[in-house]
Amino acid sequence: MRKLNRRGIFLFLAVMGPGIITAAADNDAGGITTYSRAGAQYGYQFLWILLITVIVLSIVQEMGARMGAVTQKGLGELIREEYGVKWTMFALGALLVANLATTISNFAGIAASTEMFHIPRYFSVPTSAVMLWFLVVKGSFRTVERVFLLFTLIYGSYIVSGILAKPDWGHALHSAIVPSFVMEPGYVLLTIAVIGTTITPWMQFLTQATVADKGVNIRDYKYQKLDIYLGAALTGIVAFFIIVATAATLHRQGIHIDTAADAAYALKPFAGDYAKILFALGLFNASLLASAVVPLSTAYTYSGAFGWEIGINRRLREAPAFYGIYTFSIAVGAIVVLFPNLHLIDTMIRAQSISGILLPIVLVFMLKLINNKTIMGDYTNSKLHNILTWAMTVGLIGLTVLWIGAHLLGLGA
Amino acid sequence: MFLSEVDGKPVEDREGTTIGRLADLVVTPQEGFPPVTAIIVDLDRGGRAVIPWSQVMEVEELFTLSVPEDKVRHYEIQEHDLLLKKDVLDKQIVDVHEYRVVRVNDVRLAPLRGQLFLMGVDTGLRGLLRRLGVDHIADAIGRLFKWRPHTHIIAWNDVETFERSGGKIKLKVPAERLSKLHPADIARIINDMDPAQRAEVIESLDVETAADTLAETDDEVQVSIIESLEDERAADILEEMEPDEAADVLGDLPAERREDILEEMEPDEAEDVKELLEYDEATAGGMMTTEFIGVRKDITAQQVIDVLRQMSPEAETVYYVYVVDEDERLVGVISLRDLIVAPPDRRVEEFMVSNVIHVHLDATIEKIAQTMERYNLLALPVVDEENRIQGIVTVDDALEQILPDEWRQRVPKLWSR
Repeated sequence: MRKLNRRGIFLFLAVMGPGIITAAADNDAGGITTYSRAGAQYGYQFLWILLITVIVLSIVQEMGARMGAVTQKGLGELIREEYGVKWTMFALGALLVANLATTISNFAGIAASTEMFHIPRYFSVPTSAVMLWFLVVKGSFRTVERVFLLFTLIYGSYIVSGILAKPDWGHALHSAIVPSFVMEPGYVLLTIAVIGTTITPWMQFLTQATVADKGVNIRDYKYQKLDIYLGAALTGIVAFFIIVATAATLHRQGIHIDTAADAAYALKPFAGDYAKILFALGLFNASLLASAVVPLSTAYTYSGAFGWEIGINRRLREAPAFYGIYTFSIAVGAIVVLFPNLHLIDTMIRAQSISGILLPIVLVFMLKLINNKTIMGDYTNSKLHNILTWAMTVGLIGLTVLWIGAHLLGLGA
Repeated sequence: MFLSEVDGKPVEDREGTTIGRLADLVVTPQEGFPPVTAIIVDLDRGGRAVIPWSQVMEVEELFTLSVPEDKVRHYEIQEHDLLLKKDVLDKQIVDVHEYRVVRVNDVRLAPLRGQLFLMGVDTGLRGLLRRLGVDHIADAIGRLFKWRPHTHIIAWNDVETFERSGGKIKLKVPAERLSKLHPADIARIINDMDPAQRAEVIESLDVETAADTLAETDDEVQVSIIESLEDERAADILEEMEPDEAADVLGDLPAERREDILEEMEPDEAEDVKELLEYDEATAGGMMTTEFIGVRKDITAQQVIDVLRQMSPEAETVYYVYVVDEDERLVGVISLRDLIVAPPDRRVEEFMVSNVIHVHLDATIEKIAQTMERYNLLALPVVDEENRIQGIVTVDDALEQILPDEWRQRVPKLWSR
């Protein structure tokens, strides 16, 4: 018995990573901003949507990890092998758009955080872009990445702040369980954004690729599963406390989030006068991390599906396509943010809605593949997994239709 | 002609009625460039038909059958038959000529004397553009910049394919072409593969080739392969490897698994490996092999040669024979050259060199390399504090430690592990 336990712990440590680390990177600039806006504008009302989203997140992430363990292939590769070049272009095209939007949102995060220190975006954004480019191309990103990951712990301060702000717990828990809905386009769009920033398209590709890459055996898969669920829980807890903290501070005082400085207000109960600095540092760190990781996941997915040389451990000249995609993504992200007078907060939230609108495409492919016996053998989805994931897919499509409809009817945003 | 160009083409019977569209081509593997043996047609009235090639009359703008629709026979797909669209297109294949794993963008076919031959696979960018139907547009744009998307054809007799069934990856045809390669080249290909493919290739090789191949792969790859094998098979392969290499692999496994595999191994072999596992990998103890030839000083040259004949299949190097006393202490060395020129009845102690160049168990790689270089040795004996010989370090093991690992161009890891 003891023997088994020791092996268990070892295996868990060995496979730990994809879930928990992706979760840490998931709360990026867009995530923080979207949750903050949700909490500030609608109080605790978004908690029930968050709860459902996190449950589906854990299911979808587990599906990706399972596909990675069984097939030892990335999602892009599987789509290519099963559906051919055209469908691959379609799915990866959607991924590219979603990832570019996310990258723009993260460069907006860089701009917003440095401007809190009075460093103009026209300086900080190009500098960061060039720095991230060199870090990856010169091969030292993996070392720096650990520092970034460590600094994501800053978001732990939301938990403390959320508790110190003395929220109305009864109200909060009630809102987390009892659904409520506001019929206005802004709310619908924010709902799509909350879902799109929690279950991002890039995460699904990245988790599956990492699990496949590590060669996690399906026999040892239960330990991987634990890692995935812990990761989803982590994302959920941080998101929950961001909403609670902003609801208990900003919403209570009727402050609408228009700049990053407004959002920082939610950390006041914990950090007092240092709230701004703490928030800016956290935002800057998360934005930098995701600004590199998301373009890398695009490059990685494309290279896998089209059989191009994959970089990171290769030189620029050996993997031109890989680095080309990476460079293009970073350049687009940085340049868009430099448009004069761009509203940073709105940009970030819109970017998350784009992720949310495109997510169903990824989910449908995942559902199709994971229920294919030839590919998955005995490891196809359970009925419950299928029902919940399909429900989320249909729900998202419904919300998108609703939002477009509201616009067409001239209800305005 | 390419598969993407004929895919979906109308299929007409002899009367000129369109019965359906081409869905796939069936090829029965054989030496060289196999012909298409049957076509799979998506029928207009629903369902699919598998029609033998003998009933296909010609391939032009469309496929024309030599019979009316009601005379069409059914071809039974055989176990080893390849479906070009299902099994080859968009899949990863092994290019045994350039030792790589690549993804197929298109399949090259050649019509000849009423048959359609499978020539090879296209892995170039142009194949990808053709699939999207934009190859001519790309050509036109490319012309402006004096650039042309490349076509890269791998001849079919250099291709090895995988298939997937019930979640498992299998080699479509037992790895014939692959197993004929040099183990070092198989290792290069395996380094490129994903774990499931690796396991499948190793499974398909005979124990000896598998062992040689494993010895040549990257450290991480070795571990992932052994982890995916059954204990018994892993033990068989490790027994076949040099004890020092087996110890290196086992040393990187989790302790539990290592014990399980050691238990499955022959006691003798397991003992050797266990001893080696005790030493630090970066020292002479960790690098050495226990398979060397040791003799007593009172036997004759002829007797030594007999011993060599008997043992050489086992020993890693036969260029040196070490002379030891009753306590295994190193007292001399004879080179193969000395041995051959010595008269058969001359006793070892009369022509051995008694001042043996050696290193201690804890010698570093730098020390080993310097010593080998200074005295121009192919192998170096390793002794403990009491001058008892423990093993030898061969020049190839030393080189492996020193040279930068140029194949370390592994799949990237976005995340540190």
